[in-house]
Amino acid sequence: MNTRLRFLTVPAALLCSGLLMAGAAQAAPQVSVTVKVERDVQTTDADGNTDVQRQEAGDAAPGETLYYTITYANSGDESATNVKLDNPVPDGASFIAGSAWGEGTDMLFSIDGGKSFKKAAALTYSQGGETRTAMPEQYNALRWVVPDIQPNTTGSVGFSVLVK
Amino acid sequence: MKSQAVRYLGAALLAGSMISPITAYASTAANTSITNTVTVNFDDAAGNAQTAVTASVSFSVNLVASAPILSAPADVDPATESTLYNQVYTVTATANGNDTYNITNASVNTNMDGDPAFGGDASIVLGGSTTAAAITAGATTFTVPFDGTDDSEVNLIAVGDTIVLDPTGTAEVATVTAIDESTGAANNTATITVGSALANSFAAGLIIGEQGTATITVTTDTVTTPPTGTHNVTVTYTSVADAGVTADDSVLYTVYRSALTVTKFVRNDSNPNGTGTSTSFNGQTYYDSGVNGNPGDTMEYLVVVENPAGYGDAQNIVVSDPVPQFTTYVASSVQMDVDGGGLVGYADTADNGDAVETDGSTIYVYAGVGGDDTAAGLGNGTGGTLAGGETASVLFQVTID
Repeated sequence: MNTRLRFLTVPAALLCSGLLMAGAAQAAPQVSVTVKVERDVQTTDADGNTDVQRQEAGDAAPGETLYYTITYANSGDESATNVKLDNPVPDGASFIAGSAWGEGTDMLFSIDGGKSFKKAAALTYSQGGETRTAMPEQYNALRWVVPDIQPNTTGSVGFSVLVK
Repeated sequence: MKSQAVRYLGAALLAGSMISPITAYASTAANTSITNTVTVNFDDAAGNAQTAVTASVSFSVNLVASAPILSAPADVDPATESTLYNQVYTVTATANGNDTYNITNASVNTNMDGDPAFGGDASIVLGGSTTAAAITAGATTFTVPFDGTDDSEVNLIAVGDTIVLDPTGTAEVATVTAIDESTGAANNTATITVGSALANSFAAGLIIGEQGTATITVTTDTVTTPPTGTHNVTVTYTSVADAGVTADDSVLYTVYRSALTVTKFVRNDSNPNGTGTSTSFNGQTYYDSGVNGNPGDTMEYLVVVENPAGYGDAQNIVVSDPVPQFTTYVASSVQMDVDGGGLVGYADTADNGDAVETDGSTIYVYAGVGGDDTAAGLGNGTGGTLAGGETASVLFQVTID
């Protein structure tokens, strides 16, 4: 909030240097995130040896498995805390059971489009008076809870989907 | 749908890190853009909430070629030699997007001199999409994934097209009356309106295939040894997107050669005599030769037109018989037994709707079943038909000058 107020007082021409000054003057986390989608591509060389390489996917066929990798970084000079990475499962894709990964994170899932997140075992819903545990393909949003991101560190999490 | 997804999931898990094969599992339309967005919420070290950051990545869904569903035109029996037949197919797409299907023809022939000649459509283009959300029975509109271009066509499904919802399952046919793609950018879906309320409910992720018609022309060849031969014509539809995806159908043409025979006999009504081969008809004896007569005698001719058993229909049979030199036609003397049902007399008058017309010098008989002289002008009538095994017999009289 303070940062935004300060922006308003900085003349436009000085905005860029003002930003740097602000960063230097007051410690703050600066978190960035990228996401990529990849597929496994199998190649066969002249000797018949096969090799599987993971390559970025611009398109995909229904039934194909795709791998999402989310990379986060803190380029600030202060830890980011209470970090939550929220990722709805895209329309047209279904979450593959057991495919979510993220070292040092807590992985939570949602079956209500991201309104509420719980551990997989606690994800239940009521059907016909019975309480059922949600199947992984019913998950429609994922959340990774990262305790903190130290300055100048990066981390990755990810999951896989089946293209519908 | 769920069981299929679960089954597939199992296969994917078994396969481990192997590449998933591309299968016919298709429930998102081709050209759909699927976007994944991650949002990071975080605090600073002091616990103050910071502005969230986001990142997105997209990919587009590919066409999974799928064999179209073909109608099965009926076999053609009887077919006649050197005759063009239209083989009409109703073709229903079952793919998640538009594709072109090339049409090729082949024939396996028995007792035919060669292949039939093929013509007609060389390919058919059909659109395809999927249901973006569940549809309740009674709906006239439903959503499909946006194909990325706001051009009033969703993967080539356009207004006026016939579409089939869930072609391999419920298979409800509808006609597209409107397409609204204006919401494509915002919702990633387009809306299709159909001409009448849908009778069935549909789950999300089912194929919507366009239905079209393809016509192949088949011109029969000639029979090697009468009476019949066959062309077994196989028409194959091959996906341009994936040449390994084909659908085919065969139609059997049983080709008959008609083998009409005409024999002419005569008898002397005034003074019966004759020495040649005789035949008996209507209680009288006729000869193919050796008959004589005196001037003034009445001679009666018998013309026998026969289509042998086992042969195809002989159509448009016209008997034209010039009245012999030095004789005079006896007015209204033509009688005909059309197909063995009995003799009937005919008027000589042209164009009067019966099967005979004459000007006294040439007699035209439109022999067989259904012949008539209605078409204007002498000799312009329409010949009748004799099926295999049927015989038409014509009688007329002259007097010797």
